[in-house]
Amino acid sequence: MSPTRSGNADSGRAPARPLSAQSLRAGRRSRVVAALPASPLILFGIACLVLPLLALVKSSLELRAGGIGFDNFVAVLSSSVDRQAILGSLQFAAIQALLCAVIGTPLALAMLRLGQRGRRWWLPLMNVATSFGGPGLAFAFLLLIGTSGAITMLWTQLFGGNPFPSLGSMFGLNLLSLYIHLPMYVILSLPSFGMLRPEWWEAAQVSRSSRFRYWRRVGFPVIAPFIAAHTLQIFTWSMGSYALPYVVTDSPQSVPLITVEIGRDLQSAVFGLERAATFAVLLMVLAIGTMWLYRTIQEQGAKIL
Amino acid sequence: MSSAMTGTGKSQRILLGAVAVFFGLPLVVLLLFSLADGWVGTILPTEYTLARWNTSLSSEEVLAAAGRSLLLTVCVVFIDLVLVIPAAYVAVVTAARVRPIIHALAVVPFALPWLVIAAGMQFTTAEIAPSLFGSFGLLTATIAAATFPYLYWAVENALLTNRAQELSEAAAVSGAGGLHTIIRVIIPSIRTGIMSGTLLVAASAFGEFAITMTLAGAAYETLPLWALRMFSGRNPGAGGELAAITFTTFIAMFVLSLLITRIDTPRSNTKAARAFALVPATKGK
Repeated sequence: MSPTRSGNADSGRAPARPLSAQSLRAGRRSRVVAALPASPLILFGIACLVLPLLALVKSSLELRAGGIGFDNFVAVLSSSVDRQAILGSLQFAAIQALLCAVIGTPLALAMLRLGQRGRRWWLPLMNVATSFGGPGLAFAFLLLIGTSGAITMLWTQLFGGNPFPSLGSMFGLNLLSLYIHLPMYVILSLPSFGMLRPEWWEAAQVSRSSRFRYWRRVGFPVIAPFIAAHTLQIFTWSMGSYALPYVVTDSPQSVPLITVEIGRDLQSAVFGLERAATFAVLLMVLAIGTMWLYRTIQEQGAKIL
Repeated sequence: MSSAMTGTGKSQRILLGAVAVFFGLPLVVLLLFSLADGWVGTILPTEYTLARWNTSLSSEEVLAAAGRSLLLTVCVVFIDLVLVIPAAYVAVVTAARVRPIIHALAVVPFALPWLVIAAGMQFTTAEIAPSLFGSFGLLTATIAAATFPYLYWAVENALLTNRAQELSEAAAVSGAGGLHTIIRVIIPSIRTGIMSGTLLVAASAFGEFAITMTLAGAAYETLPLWALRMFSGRNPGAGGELAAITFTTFIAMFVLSLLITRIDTPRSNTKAARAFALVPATKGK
């Protein structure tokens, strides 16, 4: 109940009359007072989240010669090195998103069928894996499929040769990143896939429908929008992933990535940070665009139900 | 009932098994390497020792880095608790108008890479207060801003499910003051939400890499940055220590995560799921 309404109720016996300017002002003041405890968080958020983004936009538009314009974006898009980084990131994110959709969708469905008890162990494992990226994970994979890794050795003894490319290659990076993004995809999917009702499958069975037909006509159409939305989300998160790529893509043969370029610029360059700012703004625009798309698709998905 | 909806079929068991191997193998190999005394050119180690565990768990470098990570985590949690709980209370109980503003802010760390937030912070301080760059305060504030949604969503969710508004009105009718109501009625009712949110914030602050690397670098070597130095450096024994510490961290996080799922309501058992429960489409409003 809002303060103004309760104020009116107090003077309930008096005939209804228009609010005086004074009581309006008092109402507004008490509304402001009511919202006051939220102001530190809002100010903090503006200072630490909104302001930095504005600073990035400003730096990306500022020209070294003075004035503002899109020259920095033109410079980034016309430099072959920078274009390769953008292409590398896009390609990595697309493969990663596709892998997550293809492996993660059946995985999430399988986990839903495990029931509460089975999921009690799987969920924490998935949760930890999402925040496990970094040097430790890279080292573990080095011990497995590096040049003298355990699996590499096993392969060499059985078949000869070393089939595994380096961790910084497109293959290596995708394999490593699945450790983080696959659980993310599953965690995103579980609640929405959980909307598939057992009654629907029972109804399909009663009407003698095959399992394939059930999935084609009922199951898949229901979860398809969510698959699309979550794949999109993994794409965005892969574009922005940093810790693992930073650790493994340090050789010249590695895949060039936007985030790693930003990081290296920020750490080394004393001046000329406009390239980092421009890359960061490109990532920002992409994230805002996909977030919008994500919500639109999800709303569509929710409408079906 | 058939296996399409309940119970797991053969192909599903194979899939789950393969995924378990994919997630388990790195842990097994880390444990093996941390215990290995000689492991050159063989599939499995030839000799085993506890030396790496002894040196890493008593190494001053490791302890110092872990201490720094812990201090950072405690400060981040403190800032988030102080800022988020009153704001969430206001957003649910007294002034619903602020909710869309907070929701908009809370989406930022989910949509944007934390590296971009860190980069923005670097540009902002360069312009406004260059002396802040590399300071502990700036690092803590930025990580607190990036992690606050975990706590906010947990608390807001708990306030809504526990009907905090009706609780406060009931308390007010029985003559309890505002502050009294919050401390005696509201906070106890949302205890589990606060706890699970706090654990999520703590877990992400403890393992944070992008912001720490950008805003502090070597000036404040947390455990993840120590791990990076061990990974890149080629000094003998570094690998074993890295393996031991990484394995320990994973197990500790796993236990923490088990705790989160146990104390949480079954409806909202994962951080990302909760984060995206926010998306208006799924909330119905």
